[in-house]
Amino acid sequence: MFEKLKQLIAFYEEVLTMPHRQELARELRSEDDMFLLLLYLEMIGIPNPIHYYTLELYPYMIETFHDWHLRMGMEKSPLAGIRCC
Amino acid sequence: MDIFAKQILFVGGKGGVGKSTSAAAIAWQHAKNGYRTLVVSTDSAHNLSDLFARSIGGKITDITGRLQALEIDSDKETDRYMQSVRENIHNVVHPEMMEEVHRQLDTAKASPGAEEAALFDKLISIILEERKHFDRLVFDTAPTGHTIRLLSLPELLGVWIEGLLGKRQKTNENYSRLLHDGEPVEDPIYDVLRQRQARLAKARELLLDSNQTEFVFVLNPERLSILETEKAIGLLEQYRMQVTSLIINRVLPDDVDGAFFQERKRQEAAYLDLINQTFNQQEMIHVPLFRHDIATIEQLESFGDLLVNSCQQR
Repeated sequence: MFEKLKQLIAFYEEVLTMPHRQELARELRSEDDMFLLLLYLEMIGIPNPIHYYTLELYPYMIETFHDWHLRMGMEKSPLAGIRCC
Repeated sequence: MDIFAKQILFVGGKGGVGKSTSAAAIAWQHAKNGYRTLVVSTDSAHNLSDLFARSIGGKITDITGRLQALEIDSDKETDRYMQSVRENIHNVVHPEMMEEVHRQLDTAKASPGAEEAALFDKLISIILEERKHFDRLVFDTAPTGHTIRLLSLPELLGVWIEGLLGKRQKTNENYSRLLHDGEPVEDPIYDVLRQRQARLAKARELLLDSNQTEFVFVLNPERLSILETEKAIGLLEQYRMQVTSLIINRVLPDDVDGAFFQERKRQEAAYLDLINQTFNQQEMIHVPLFRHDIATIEQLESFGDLLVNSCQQR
């Protein structure tokens, strides 16, 4: 009986949060986008004190880079070195 | 405060006042007293090779066994860093993206600031890792402005990375809480930045620890040298680094003769007064102007002996 009740509550929560999940995901993704922009300020012409240390982050961001610059409203890759499109 | 007592010593000052000679002489004395010593030049116009009459360059080079020397080669350090980035990339990036990454790295290597950053990074790794293999580290630094910048970087970069980390952590927590049922999210970017920040914090802690690190400035009894040193000490204080000793180099000896030198001597006395008034917090070590410049190891040793004696007299 107790297990059933727990399942029911879980289901209820799922139903409640479902419509918001997409919204949340979008919100968090734009936070990610902002973060990447802060890491790569150089390319919009703002000096970045830790530019050198951001190089070691390339491997982890490069595959999401294309989607990112599209979302940022840049049609073509803003980095001369990364020609994803 | 004794310039010979600390594990890490930075020797700073205006160009041409005798920084390299002082640093090399101090390092030589350390080695003579049985300490495993590393003398490091952070100036891109290196002098150590000439002082020790052998080619040193970008790797730790044996001088006498106990004394080792290094002239940081920022070009080489940048290459090394890029290489390590390249190696990391192999594990995570799709093969077809590889070429793009390599291209980007080559561009970055040529970007302004890369050399400074490479030099700085090497400095950090000497302070954190090489320190374990040596009893004494002596840094022969570049002229004032460059060195102050270098020493202030741990603070400046630390603050920047901390800001980034805080932001990233918040996002990650939200991801975990709102979209992943509380499962922590894996985030290599956060982890890498966090490691950087930890290193910077550790280096900063060491630089600010007056039990382990000492800053000495070399100056000549001349107007510009005094003014620049005063400014530098003020700037370093802003970053909570205390310059505790001064080496007043090339003081004219008492027995100079001739009207020309007597006149210079009179002028110098005024500057020595000015030095005493300006720097009342610092210990002073006076070194006379020699008949010859410091060109041989023997001369370097007697220069060092003078520093030691002057320290012991107090």
